[in-house]
Amino acid sequence: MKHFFLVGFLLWCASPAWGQDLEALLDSTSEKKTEYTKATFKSSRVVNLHSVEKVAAGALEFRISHRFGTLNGGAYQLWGLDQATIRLGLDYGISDWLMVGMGRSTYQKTYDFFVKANLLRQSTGARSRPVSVLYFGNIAINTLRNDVLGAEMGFQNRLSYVNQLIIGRKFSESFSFQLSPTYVLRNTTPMSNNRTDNLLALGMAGRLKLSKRVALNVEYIYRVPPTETRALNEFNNFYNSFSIGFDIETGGHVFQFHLTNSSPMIDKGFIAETIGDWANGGVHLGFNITRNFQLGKKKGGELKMK
Amino acid sequence: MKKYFVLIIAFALVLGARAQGVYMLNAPEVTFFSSALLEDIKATNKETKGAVDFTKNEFLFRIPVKSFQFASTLMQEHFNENYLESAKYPTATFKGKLEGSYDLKKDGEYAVNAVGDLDIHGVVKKQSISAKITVKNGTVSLFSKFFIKLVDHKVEVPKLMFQKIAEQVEVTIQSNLRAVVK
Repeated sequence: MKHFFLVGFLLWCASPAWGQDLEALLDSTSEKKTEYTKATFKSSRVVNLHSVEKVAAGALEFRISHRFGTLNGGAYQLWGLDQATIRLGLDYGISDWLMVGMGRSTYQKTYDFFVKANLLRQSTGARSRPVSVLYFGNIAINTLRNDVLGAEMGFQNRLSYVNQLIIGRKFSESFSFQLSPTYVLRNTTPMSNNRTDNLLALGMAGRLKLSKRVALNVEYIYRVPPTETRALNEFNNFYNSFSIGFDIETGGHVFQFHLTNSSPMIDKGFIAETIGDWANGGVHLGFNITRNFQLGKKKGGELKMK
Repeated sequence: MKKYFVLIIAFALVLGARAQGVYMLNAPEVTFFSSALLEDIKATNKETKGAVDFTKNEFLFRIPVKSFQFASTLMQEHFNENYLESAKYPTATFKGKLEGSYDLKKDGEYAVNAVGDLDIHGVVKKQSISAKITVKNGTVSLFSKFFIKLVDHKVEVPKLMFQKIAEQVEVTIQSNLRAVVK
């Protein structure tokens, strides 16, 4: 009787039912990794506003931003197509969390320099964070000649600064949204040569991905009205910037087409100095084109051009 | 006494037959290589997880698509966003049965066939892939090189890109195997 049980036990040990289930084995040995959210927006700009995206590490991005004249120019101005203002820009991704850039605009012949850095990156997995938070800092220099300005403008007066926090979240593969509380400091304004202007604003932008390579962007920048009378008077001569655009992506280019009431393409310009009024047809057709070049070496993988 | 002796021998034989057991991939490297008119692209993945049950002759490999590393960050982003859509299909899987003879206790190279389902980009295709199991100084390793047609797994390449991305990519997998100690 004893032997029967012993043999029975041994046979049971040998049976395949005791074998491993490979799926269960792999499930039990997988470690949790942190995955950083990618492609919240298709480009480092929504329309005018900077997005939570940066240029990839080691990549150089050449950006041409173009705005035609206003639609209310009528047939004579070919609804704005006769007029154009541009910004040429070069952005470089230094690391996974830092990028820098510079540009030159037709608007006030401005040179601008900026830095954009992650304070936090949205992630899932082992270390989960709900939003990406970035700091954006920009200095712009008006280089119009004194005789054109009609007054002597010292170097200090030509400067303006923008400090901005960008807080954004990719809610799903098709929807992303961001908020940009901003502080704009201008040493002179279009209507006054000797008054430093402090402006607080809140930018908000969202994107809806329509297909694998096409997205719809909407952007609005609310300016906080100042309390001081002179500043408020000048404030009321300008409008809050509102833009709608499409992103179309192909290979190493992103094409952005949009309608916007802002003509300047630098932050202090489109945030504080928008003169177009949507209600009046003061809207510009515009586009941004970017071209990316990979400069820095990346670990892993190879690319050989033939 | 003789009865117990026979029993012990039988037990040992049974255990011996099960000694081939389950092995897991140890430091696997999966690469794919695309050679087109204008560009040669190679990407490497070191995060594959897999196991082979040599007793039942079954295998299961899971390849996390986001872990393929490219020479250019932008290329890696396009690979995930537009081509493999890794947000929808984060893992490529290959599972099935091993055909062929081998002896893990004897040094040598053994040619086997991995026959099963290859799931890439949500599309499953039956594959029979030849592989090589090498046993040397007690270490077991496997190696395989085969082609995958992008259209078989509904990976779309826009016409503009045909000179930069090949219709067929060559996949290589190289890995040591270590026995799972229970």
